[in-house]
Amino acid sequence: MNRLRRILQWASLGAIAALLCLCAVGAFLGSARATALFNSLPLAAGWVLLAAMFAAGVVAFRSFRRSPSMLAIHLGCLLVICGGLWGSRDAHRLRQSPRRGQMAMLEGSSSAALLTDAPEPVRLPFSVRLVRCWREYYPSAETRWTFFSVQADPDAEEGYRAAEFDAPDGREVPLPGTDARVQVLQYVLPPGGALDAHGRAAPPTVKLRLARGERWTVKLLVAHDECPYEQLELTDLYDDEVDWLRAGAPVLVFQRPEQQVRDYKSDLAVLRDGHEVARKTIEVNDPLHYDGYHFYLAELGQAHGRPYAVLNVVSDAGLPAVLAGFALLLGGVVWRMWVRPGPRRRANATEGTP
Amino acid sequence: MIAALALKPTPLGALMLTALALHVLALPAWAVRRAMGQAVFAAGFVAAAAAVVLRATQTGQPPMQNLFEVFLLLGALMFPLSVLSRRALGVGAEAIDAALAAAMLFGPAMIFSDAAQPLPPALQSPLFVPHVAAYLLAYVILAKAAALAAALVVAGDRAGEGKLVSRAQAVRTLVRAALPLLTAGLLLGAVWGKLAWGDWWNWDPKELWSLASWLAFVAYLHVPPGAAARRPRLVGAIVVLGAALILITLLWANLAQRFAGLHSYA
Repeated sequence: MNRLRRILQWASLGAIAALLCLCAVGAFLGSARATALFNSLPLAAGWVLLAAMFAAGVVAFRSFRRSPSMLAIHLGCLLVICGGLWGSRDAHRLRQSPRRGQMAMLEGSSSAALLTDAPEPVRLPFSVRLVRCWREYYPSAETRWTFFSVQADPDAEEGYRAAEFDAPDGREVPLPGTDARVQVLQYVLPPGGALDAHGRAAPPTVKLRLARGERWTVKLLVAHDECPYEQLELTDLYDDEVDWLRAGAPVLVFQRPEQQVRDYKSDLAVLRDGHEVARKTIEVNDPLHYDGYHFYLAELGQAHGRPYAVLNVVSDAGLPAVLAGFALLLGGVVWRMWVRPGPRRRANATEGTP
Repeated sequence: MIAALALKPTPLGALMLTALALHVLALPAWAVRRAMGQAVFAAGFVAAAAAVVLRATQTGQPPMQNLFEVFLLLGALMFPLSVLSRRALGVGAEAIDAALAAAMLFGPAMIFSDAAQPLPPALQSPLFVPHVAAYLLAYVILAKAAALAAALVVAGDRAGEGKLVSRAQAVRTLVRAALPLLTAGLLLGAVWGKLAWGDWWNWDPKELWSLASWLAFVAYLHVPPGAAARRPRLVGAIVVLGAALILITLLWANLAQRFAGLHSYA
């Protein structure tokens, strides 16, 4: 038995060293290739062997059974490996259940189709409805937009000329390169989290009066999430000048003040047989959990003028074992290193693991 | 993230420079008289702690978001660790602590950009502070352990003075003190990863380096005591390796494009 214990002790050191080297190799490979490496068949066998070593250690070392902290540490590691194996891609494939997929939905619509790496979407036994989705922004001290007047110019290197100009609140200023004038009537930059009449985060907006001679028009520019620039063609002022239009209309370009996104949120409802069975506002770090799956907000955007969201859907198979393993491992390490640091061993040092 | 070597002409910059200068001055002060060295070290801590508080007040969030804030906090944590390790663990070598603190403060004082950014959505989690705090506390303890281990590798073991433990025992004591914190940082990060990205482990470069550093210290504690007593220098080298892996986790994984991944914002 002593011989077995000595072998296990040095084998555990060897396994730790091998895993350490593999981690360093995996870090150079990048996440995608490292995932493939650590989920490959040889390494899957390695994980099983490691789990067997933990189990053998618990059996072979009496100190493990006598010391609750040692038992907790090694059982914790065993649970984490077992949970990881059970929740792995290949284990899901063997059980013919999807491990990870995506759902894309327009606001107000619902879907049960889970897009995975399989050729056909997987039908979930329930559907998910995207009630609404929105971004929240940090308040910004900056409210003024940057204005550019852009005109086509074949002689210019880029094919156009752009002139930045200042438009103080309320004062009418000439539009560079044209005979038009622009006046900012109001800058509206809602504080972070402010909602508009439809319950969405209101985007930064600027209200303008554009004039040329006796003609004038009022425009409201609303910033869109996807692009920091908004542009306005001055056709209302120039539509009678055919030659000018042919040459290329001057365009007002507005760069909205930068706002950093504070959070992405989405209201989700789970429907089963037409009835709502779960509902939650999900955000980053706070997914919806239903029927063995977590639903994460992966992407928000606009398609055909309607907001849409892409959800990452991830199976929670093996997660309870992993979390229990974490708790045992951490509790065991804290107990072993801090609460009872002194080794409770006999003079025989062959059992001397930490 | 990185600026050219330059002073920061702000009150925060002045505080950090003062803290850096005092930590450097503590080294010759120790040579004159231990009490003087300790007093200068304590004054340096006050300046570093004031810089941490000022930064937190300016940004309105815990100063743990980027390398500037992390190294500032690491530098400020060194003095309390030094006092605690002498009183609670019987580990001395305060001059090493002051030198380490000076090295840690050099980055925020002279190199890293102090541009403040609001917390991105992924960092707004109740796990942010415990995850980073556990790692930072572990890192300061292990930095001291690694410095003593390097001395062990170069000069061999040395008995402690008075009630202090020997060099080899000091390394072991410090590693044992840090391992629960390192484990907590790793596991809290995994739980956070599950909540934020869907998987508790993503094989991301930073995750892999942090696991590698944890494994190095686990390996150190797995060396049978007999072998550790026979070859203290070899075993000490494992701790130096672990500290090198922490440096890679903390710096290289953030600064090198080579390791771009989920943690690139850090």
